[in-house]
Parts: sequence; C-alpha cells; structure tokens
Amino acid sequence: MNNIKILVVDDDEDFLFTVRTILSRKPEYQIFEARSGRDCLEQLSKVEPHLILLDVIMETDIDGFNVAQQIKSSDPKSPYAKYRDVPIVFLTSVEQKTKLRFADKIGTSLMPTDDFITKPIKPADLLSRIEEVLKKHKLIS
Amino acid sequence: MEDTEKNFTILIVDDDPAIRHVCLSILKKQYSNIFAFENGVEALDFIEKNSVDILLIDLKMPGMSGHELIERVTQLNKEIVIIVITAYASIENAIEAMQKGASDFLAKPFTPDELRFAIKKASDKRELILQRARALQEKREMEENYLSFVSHQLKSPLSAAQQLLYLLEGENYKIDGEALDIVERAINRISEANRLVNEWLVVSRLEKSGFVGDFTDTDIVPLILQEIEKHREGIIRNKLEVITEIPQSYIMKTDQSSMSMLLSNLISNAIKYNKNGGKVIIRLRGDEKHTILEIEDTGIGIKKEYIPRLFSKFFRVRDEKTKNIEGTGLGLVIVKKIIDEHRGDIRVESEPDKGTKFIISFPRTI
Repeated sequence: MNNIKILVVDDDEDFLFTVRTILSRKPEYQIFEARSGRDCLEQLSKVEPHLILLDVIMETDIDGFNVAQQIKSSDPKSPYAKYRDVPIVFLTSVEQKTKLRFADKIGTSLMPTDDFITKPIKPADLLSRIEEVLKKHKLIS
Repeated sequence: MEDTEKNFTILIVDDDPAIRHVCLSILKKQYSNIFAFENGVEALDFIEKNSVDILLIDLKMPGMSGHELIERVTQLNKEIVIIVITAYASIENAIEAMQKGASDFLAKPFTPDELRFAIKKASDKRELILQRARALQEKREMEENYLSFVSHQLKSPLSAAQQLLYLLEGENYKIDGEALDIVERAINRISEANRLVNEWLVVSRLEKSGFVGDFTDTDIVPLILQEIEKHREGIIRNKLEVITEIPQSYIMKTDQSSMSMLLSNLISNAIKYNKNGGKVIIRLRGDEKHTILEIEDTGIGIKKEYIPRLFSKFFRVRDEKTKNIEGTGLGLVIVKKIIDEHRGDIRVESEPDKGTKFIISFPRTI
C-alpha cells in the first residue's frame, strides 16, 4: 500500500511536531493530527486511518486508554465499530508498571498486535516500530 | 452515623442457648444483621469469610475458649470491636481479655439496657475505626495522584525536549563536530533528568506499602536473560563478557515487574562501573531454604568506607573514576526496598580496581 493514513494523537504540540517531521520522511505515510482524545474520535470517520498513534495521558479531555476502549469496544452499536481493528500504538512516558495496569484495564484483546512505545524515542526506532505493526496487520509487506 | 450503625454486623458467640436467645431478641429491634454461634470454631469461620463489626464473646466455652477466639480474631487485623461476656466473679478474666484486644466487658447477669449500652459504645468505636480507615485511604489516593501528576508535569516537557533534540541529531540536519557534540550532551543531561524523575517516582511508591505486587511462582531465568538482552548496547559498547551460571529454569515466589527492576538495576551497575573488556558474572542457585543471586563485575570496585552508604538515597561515589558515569543515586535504594519486600538480604563484597559482587539471598518461603 502506498498511502497509509496515520492519525497521531497528542496534546503536546512539540511532540506532534517531531512525530510529523519523522513520519514525513516516508512518502507513503499520510499524517493526520488530533490534539485530544475527543478530537481523535471525531476525526476517525473523516480520516479513516490505517494506524493510530495514541498518547496515553492527555489533559485536554479524555485520555488515550479511554479512547482505545471506545474504539475497541465490542458493542455492535458502538459508533466506532468500523474502526475496531485499526491497530493502535500507544505513545507514553509512563513506566512499565503503569503500562501493565492500563493494559489490564483495556483488556488483553488489545495486545499483542498493538504496541507500546515509550517517549522519547529515536526517530529510526519510531519508524521501525511503526513498520513492524503495519507488517503485522498486513498493511505493508 | 445512625444508618451505618444499623447495618453493622454483630456476632454473638456463647454456648448457652439462653444467652444467645436473650441477646438476639433484645438487639434484633435495632440491628438487622445479627448472628449467633454456639462455639468459637464456627464463629471464626464466619468472621474469616464475612465482614463483621462487633463481636460479643462468652469467655467460658467448651472447645475453643473465648480467650483463644479473641487472639485468633485479633490476628485477622479486621479491627472488629470485641465485648466479652463474663461472670461477675471472674473480673480478672475480663481484664486478661481486654489486654488481648477486647474493648469492653459485660458482667452476667446483665439487663437489656446494659447490653444495648455496651453495643452502642462498641458501634461508636467501630464507626470511628471505619472513618479513620476511610480517611487514610483518601490520603493514600491523594498522595498517589499527586505523585503521578507531578511526575507527568515534569516528564512531559523533558521528553518533548529530548524528542526535539533527537530530531536534530538525526541524519536530516547534517550536523556534526562541535554542534553534534553539543546536541548529544544536551540529550544526555535531559535523559538524566528523565531517569531521575522515574526513579524518584519508584522510590516514593516503594516507601508506601503495596508497591510490590502479589508474589506468585515465577521462573526468574527468562527474566535474567531478558534483562541481559535489554542491556546489550552497554555490554557491546564496553566490550564486556557476560557469564551466566544459572539453571535452565528456577521458580521462586516473586512479583515479576519488581524482580525485573531489581535485575535491571544491578546488571546496569555491573556494566556502568566495569572496565573495558571486563566481565559480568551472574549466578543463581538455591537450596531448600534460600535462593542466592549473585551479580559480580570486574570493574572499578568500591572503597570500603563507601559500602555502608551505598543504599542511601541519592548517595553516589564521586571521584575521578565515576565522574563520567551517569546515575541518580536511587538504583540501589530501589534494589534494597525490593529485597526487603521479599524479606531477603543483600551483601556487598568489593575491592577497588578488582570489582564488586552483590550477593542477594531470598528465603524460599515468604
């Protein structure tokens, strides 16, 4: 696929800027940005992303885990049911213990296809982790 | 207060059916959750499985005595308010019971009003206990939220700044020489601050109980191998040889994430304070009573006078050899706390210029 739509969700302007800059090295990635959890949910139908890069702790409205919970909800009437299988990569600066606790909260259905990335991350590492997830989901070969 | 009091669960334990009947009929008008037992064993079983607020115990019972029941209940740490029922002639018995944890006594024969008054006093006491527990819980939650909040507030700007510098360091900007050196120095200092916040958070949580999760049977050999793998970069950079003298698998009761943290800290030290081309030796063995974990390096060693201070917060050996080694002075504090949670011990053997060996012993039964 040569047009992979990635929705990056973070309330930190500088972080969005760096991720945008890093991802723009790959011409096949088309980057969309959301500045809050609600913004992300609202943009889903407009963007139809192939991958979501989601910050965990956001102070704007709803946090990343809440967003993931809504997207991954198994309720057939969920407004986001269409996006249930979109891979989510969490971006977080929280430590391991907290990650595990949150992973528990959203249920194991999320793992292990989706990924956790700890901020800050070296540009090359970010690109390769994204590539890995895309491969796992057969979005690239 | 009135409402919770009505919902209190009250237990009457007496082998005399008349006393049980009298207590039940007096109290059931005011309290709906009253249960009566004719012996201590059944009562104890109920107390272990249910939430109980007030306990009326006859001291003289066949089988498990009232005194024994009080001791067993006190050991459960449920802060149940205990009233003992005793004959007039045996006040000494009541005193003994109160020393063991009962808070009041009723002398037989007692009037309905005396019983109601004793229960009222016990209810007030229980209510205070519950209020105190709620306040403590709230305080703990506030502290935890405060910690998370502060650390997030500190970490967000730090990690954003580091992320920006990573970008500059990348191949897109073609910076080299002095400029690249400046960027790298800045990255190092920011990541040092980041690490400090992380470790400070861990130490603060460790100081409260309940940081270490539930101990379950865990194979720690894969954890050791994982941690070695995670430190591969440093091992290669310092051209170190890692020698492991460990079994194929070794099950011990531990909490996986704290065990990983312990291993990570010790392995990281053995790498950082090593010499180029040195060795890191990890040994694991056990007998029926202990598990022994050793992490040894052939590095710069520690002067004798510093060893007692190694486990103090923010302590770092500062001399010519260590001045370029990054660290927060919290790693070994974390290690020690985790070992304490396992009721284990840590010993240090070290000789300057030869190396350092950390020997940890965990009891097999925790």
